[in-house]
Parts: sequence; C-alpha cells; structure tokens
Amino acid sequence: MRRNGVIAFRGPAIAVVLLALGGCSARAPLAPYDRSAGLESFDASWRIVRETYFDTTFAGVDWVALRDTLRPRAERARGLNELRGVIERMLGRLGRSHFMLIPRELADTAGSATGVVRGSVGLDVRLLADLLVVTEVDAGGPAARAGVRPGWVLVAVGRDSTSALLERLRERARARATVYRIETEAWGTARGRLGVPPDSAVDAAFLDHADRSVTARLVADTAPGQPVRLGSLPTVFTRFRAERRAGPDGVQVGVVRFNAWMAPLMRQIDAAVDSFRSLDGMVLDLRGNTGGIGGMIGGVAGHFLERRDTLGLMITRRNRLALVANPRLVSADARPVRPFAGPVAVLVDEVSASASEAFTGGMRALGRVRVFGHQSMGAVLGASWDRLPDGDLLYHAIMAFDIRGANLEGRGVVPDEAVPLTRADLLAGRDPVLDAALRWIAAQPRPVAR
Amino acid sequence: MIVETLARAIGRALSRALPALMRALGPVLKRLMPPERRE
Repeated sequence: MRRNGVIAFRGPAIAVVLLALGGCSARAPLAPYDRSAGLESFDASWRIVRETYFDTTFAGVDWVALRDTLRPRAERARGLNELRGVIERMLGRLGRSHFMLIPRELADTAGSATGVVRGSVGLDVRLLADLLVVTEVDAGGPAARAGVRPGWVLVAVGRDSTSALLERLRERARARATVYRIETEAWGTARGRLGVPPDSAVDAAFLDHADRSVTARLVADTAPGQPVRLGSLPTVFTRFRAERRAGPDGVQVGVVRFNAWMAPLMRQIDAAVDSFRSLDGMVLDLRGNTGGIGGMIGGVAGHFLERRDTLGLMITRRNRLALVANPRLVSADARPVRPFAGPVAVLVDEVSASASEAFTGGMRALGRVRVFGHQSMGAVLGASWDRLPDGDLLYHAIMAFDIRGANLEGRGVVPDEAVPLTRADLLAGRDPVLDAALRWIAAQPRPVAR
Repeated sequence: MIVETLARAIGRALSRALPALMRALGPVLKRLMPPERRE
C-alpha cells in the first residue's frame, strides 16, 4: 500500500499478528511489476506449502484444485498488490494462523542498522464490551502528549468510525472469513489503522473519561523498544519491564513483562529472575505478547522447574520433537542456584499468541503456573519462512504444537481465572488482572526457609 | 512461533563470521602458498 510516499503494510489482522508489522515502513521505491516473477512466486508459494505443511490432509482443502482455481487469477494480476491478494487468498483457505506474505519492502533490510522503521502513536486498545477502549498510553508518547488516557474510547480513526469497522469485522466473522475471534481482530484492525510510519499523522476521535468528544491529530514517533532482527524477517521492536510489587498481606512479587520472545531479551529475563529469586512469587505478564522464537520458551520455563520436563510436542510432517525444559541451575553471573520454586502466575489476553501460548499452555499442563486474564489468541503453530522468486517472504506454518494430545490452535489458553477488564478499571488506574494474580500469590503458603 | 532450523542458524552464523574469518586467514594462506603463486 502506498501512502505518503512510503510503503506501508496494512494487511488483514492475520498479517499483523505474530510479527506485529503494523506501522512498518521502508523507503525503497518499488520496481515495476514483473509478471513472470509474480507467477513464479504464486507457484512457489503453492509448492512450499504443499511440501512443508504439517497436515497432509490440508484439513479437507483440495490444495491442487485450489491452485487450479487461483492460478489463472495470479496470471491475470496487473500489479503486485493484486498478485499478493491472490497468494494471500490461497493461504487464507487453510484457515490457520502463521501464514502470511511479507512484502519485500519490509524484508529487504540488509545493510541498514535497524531494518525498517516503525512508527507508533503510543497507545494500545482492546475490545471491551463492544467498545475499542484505550488500555495503555506510552509515557511521553504522541497519545500522552495529546492528553489521551487509559479508559478513553476510540470512536474514529481517520474517516472511519470504529463502530463501522467493528460491524465489518462481525460480518467477516459471520462469513467465517477470519481465523481469529473478534476481540483479536478488533485489536489487529485498530493497530493497522493507528500504525502509521514515523512523522505521519492519524486523526483520531475519542470519548474521554466523562464521555465528552475529543479529537486529536496524533503524529507518530519512531516506535519505542529495542530493534531486533532475525534473518530477513522484518525488525521486531522489543519492550521489557521488570518491577517489584507489593501485594496483599505484604507479599512481595516480581512482575516481568515483555512483548516478544526474541533472543536478546533472554539476558534481561535471566537477570530479572535472579533479582526476584528471594521474593514470594513471580508474575509473567504476557498480555500483548505476540510470540517469537519457539526455542526460547524452554529456557524461560527452566527458571521455574525443579526437574527436566516436556512443555509439548512439536509435530512436523516427518518428525515429532519434544520441546524440553531443563532446570536452570546457574544464575546470570555464574552462581549455582535452584530454580524458583514459589508460585508463578501468567497473565494473558486476546493478543497473547504463539510462543506465549505454547509457554503458558505447556507450563499449566505441568501444573507449574496459574493463568489469569482473557482467553489467548489461539495462534499456536510453528512457522518458518522462505524467499519467493519476486523477493517477498512467505511465512508459513510447518509445525503443530500438541500439549498432552491437545492443540491450542484456534482455541488458545483459557485462563484458570478469567478476569474481565473494564473501562471503569482503566479510568481508575486499576489492573484487575494483575491484582487477581497478586491475591492468588498472597494466598499461597510461603516457603519456610529461603 | 518461529522455528529456527539448526541448518539455517548455522548458515546465518557462518555468513556473519565468514568474511572476518577469511580476512584473518588471508595472510596465513598467502604464506603457505608457493612463492610463484603469490600475487
């Protein structure tokens, strides 16, 4: 999509998920459409999925017939966007997460320090009681500077009212044109609309705490967070926070929050666990964490397991591989330690996806964590990527993840304690999900000796 | 979740390390060559 002289990627919610590409931009001009490379990319996409998709029955989709139907359309495509639409349509027929076509403008980042630049207007939303409500405002960010506060209702973005956008999503859900539940789609749509490149403006209309109309022109900053690159995948901006919180009855809890499972965060997570070892409990806040490197979840799980255990089975077409977590017996500064044995709560919501769900589902099956919040996204497959002949990247599922014979794809993790988030909580500065976790930790027996 | 295959991870590490390795090895290889083949 071309806007403001830059290439911005705003696919359907399915494409925003997992890598969270909203608001990415790359300032490279596109070459004219190469019809033969385009058709080769269609064929390559079809073939890669045929050869690597973990389910050889394709869940009832006739993969050969689908190619025969769509290939003439790929052949007739008059431009890159049209071709991409045909390929995305083919991938969409599988009805699974972890399929997306990543435009080469976002993938071709070799040679630049951070790859693509991502913009942010500094707010996040969730669908609460049929309203898109601001759940977070970045301190000092564009939304904060405009006076936007958590608990405000987003009523319009650009020329579209959010109620009209939501009605469209409901129609898509009725037509079964989406993989995700409406609350996830609503987040993805809002993220796509608000995710403009740096220095671009979005006009947004809100209802404030007293239901008064407020309009604001939000000019995006560069997204906060550390840029992390993995191969030719688009840059991921990681955010991490660790803080000590006091709960009921003076209970002391370490709260660790991060938005993606990316290897450079491991050191920070290890250091946070080290600093919280002597506390009464820990909270892993995976709300809004859309996933990342699957291999990392065993490393984090090992901080909380006394013995080697299996989080789940990774099932590809040819292999079944156990995802094993080994107890972490050495601190970040090389001292011998015992894994943390106190209570561990995990917070999830409708944006917690993929590696976050595999971790949470696997640890719960082992009886090691209690889960609080809202049912997670249900995007629990393993994926890899391949470069297509025209330069785009095909990100595609190659692996199912089974936890004791059950599969969370399409379902997600249902919390042990479903804690609804309300607009009133947000306006009052409360976090009922974290509060529920702190209450549970306070009710657990304290270790006799530390 | 992203699945990193071992082969791909090794390939990535090698592609990063190879230029430096070749630069380091260059003088050594040159010394090992017969004098008539040295540039």
